[in-house]
Amino acid sequence: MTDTPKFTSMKVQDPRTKKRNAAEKRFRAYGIAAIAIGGLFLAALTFTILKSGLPAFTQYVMKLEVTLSQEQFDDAESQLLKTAVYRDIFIDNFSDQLEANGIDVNYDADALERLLGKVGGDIRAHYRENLSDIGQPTVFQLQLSSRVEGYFRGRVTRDTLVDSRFLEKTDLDIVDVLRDAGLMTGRFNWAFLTGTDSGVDNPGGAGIGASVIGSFFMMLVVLFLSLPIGVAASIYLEEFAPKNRFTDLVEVNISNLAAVPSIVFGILGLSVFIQFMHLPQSAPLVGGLVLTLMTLPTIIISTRASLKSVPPSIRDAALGIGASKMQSVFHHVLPLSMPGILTGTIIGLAQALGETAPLLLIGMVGFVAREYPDGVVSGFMDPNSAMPAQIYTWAARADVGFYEKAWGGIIVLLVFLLLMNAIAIFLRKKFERRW
Amino acid sequence: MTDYKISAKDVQVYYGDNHAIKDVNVDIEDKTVTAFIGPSGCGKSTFLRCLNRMNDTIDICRVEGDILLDGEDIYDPSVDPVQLRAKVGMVFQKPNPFPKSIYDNVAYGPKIHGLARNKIELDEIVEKSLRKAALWTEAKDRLHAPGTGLSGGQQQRLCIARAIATAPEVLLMDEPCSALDPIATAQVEELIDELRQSFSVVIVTHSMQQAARVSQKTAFFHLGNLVEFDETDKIFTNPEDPRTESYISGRIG
Repeated sequence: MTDTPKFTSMKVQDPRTKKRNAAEKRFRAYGIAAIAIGGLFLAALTFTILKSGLPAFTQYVMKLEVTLSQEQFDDAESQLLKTAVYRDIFIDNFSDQLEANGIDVNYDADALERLLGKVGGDIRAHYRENLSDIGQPTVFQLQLSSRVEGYFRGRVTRDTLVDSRFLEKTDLDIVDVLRDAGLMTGRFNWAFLTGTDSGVDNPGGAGIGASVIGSFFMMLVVLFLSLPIGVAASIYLEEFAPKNRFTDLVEVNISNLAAVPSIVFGILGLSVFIQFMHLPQSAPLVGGLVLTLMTLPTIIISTRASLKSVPPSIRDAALGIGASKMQSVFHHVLPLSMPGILTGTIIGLAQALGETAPLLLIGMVGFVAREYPDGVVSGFMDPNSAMPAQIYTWAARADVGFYEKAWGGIIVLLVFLLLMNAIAIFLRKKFERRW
Repeated sequence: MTDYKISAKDVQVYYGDNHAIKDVNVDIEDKTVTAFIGPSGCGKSTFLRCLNRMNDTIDICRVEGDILLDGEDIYDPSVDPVQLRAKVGMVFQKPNPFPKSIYDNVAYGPKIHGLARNKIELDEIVEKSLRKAALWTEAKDRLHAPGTGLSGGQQQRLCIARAIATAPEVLLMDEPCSALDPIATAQVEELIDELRQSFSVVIVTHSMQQAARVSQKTAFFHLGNLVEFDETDKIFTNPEDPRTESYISGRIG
């Protein structure tokens, strides 16, 4: 018996086709959902970081014009309690200015100290360094104490404030009046970008500048050690090494090293570089060495991958016209794998830039970054911190003022990471030859 | 000294445990085209790659027996394979120009072998090689354009120009036309015939018509054995071995 094939219209989908199409649609929906969730998290993260971190970039100050005559200066310098004299001069100028603005408010020297800290010292320091300002009206921008800053930002309110030697409710009346008169305002906090770490009780004075320099010197060490070592090792392993048990072992170990927790490298650095080799503690040089160890596997793996992706026909072509192995690698294979190598290197560097744990173990903690290095040698050898370690130190401090500094530090760190990624993309495009 | 350019004696090739080439004896004359034919996997390409030691790059590959170039054993420990490959050039199955300009592709060999003392000599070599490879008229106005921008047939002729720029004595061609259309194939075949004036050419091909058209001598390989090696005319008209007969008449392969 033979069946004549039944006519089926192509316009009607059979059940199998329907099922397949439905499965495909479902899969696409999953994909879109996954991307949407990822985007949502990213947006939430960015929002939180900006919301918590941006306040670190503003600073609240009191503007005050002070005029100091030569006699006043000479007189103050001859006294025993010099800063007290300067404070009184400041208060005189302050009350003059209040009068000039038609402001009537009760205050005393203690209240001013609670608002502005020890102003006498600041003013004396300014005039001793700028002798030419004596006799001229000079505008001072005096930083408000951390609690008053909190009041400006809404962190401290009249309801939550408990009178203490740091701030009293009556002080807030002075603040309100001065703010309305425009004498107390916010401004961009350059000191946060250029400054060094401050003491635990002075969040307002804390800056990330010194740690940025520390990170910079560390990255120099990482770049100049891990790039040549990593690329040379990859080229040898990929192009020259015989395939045997030993090279297999080396390969497996490189892959394993890439997965070793960074704190292990930290303790290795502590015991080898500091305790055994007696390199200085907390030095960016040591930090750079530790991060080099950490970055090498990443660079080697990505370099080998990009060397592998160069088609073997290019190697054959070079060997076929009598190029040596090395000529074929350096003239043909390496240039072609350059974009991959550079991308891998910069990703490795970016990873190293954000690494905290190993730095804590070798002493590059935040509070070490109290001053800028004097020069290049000092940049490598003198105690310093790095951005992530600085952020960690701030986040661990009690004063809430440091909390927003930590978030601000994260913004600075992210800006540097984005910058490095931009460089990676730029180099990739530059070296990539489409032909 | 023999009169042959290359003579292979009792050549065995092993890939690990796999005995890929068995007892091959071939004598290749100077200024002739020798074709290697045979079904896929018969070892003809493997044998070709022994002639300039390209198999050295494969770790598990082992070659035994003697291969003499002008009477010297090329597998002698004192022979540098890099120097050998300058004398025995190779063109591959898939056109593989370097991702550089046409000029740089051709100039690369002479540069690394120090064949040109200055830019003028180098320019001359490049022009001569491109002319020989019948690419000059098409390429002379775009010498600094990327070699990979050429068509497939032009790319293969560029690879041939690159190979002859180093002034080799033997040119090995591994299925040079398998990726080309009939017109490009015809151009390359014409080229091979011209190249025969200057040096000996060994060509591996899947196309028996091609072997018949371009070669004077033909070797038929089957399952790693050299079945028959003789004048091309004789192989295609009056083969001695029944296996050759069945292959060229399309019964095996």
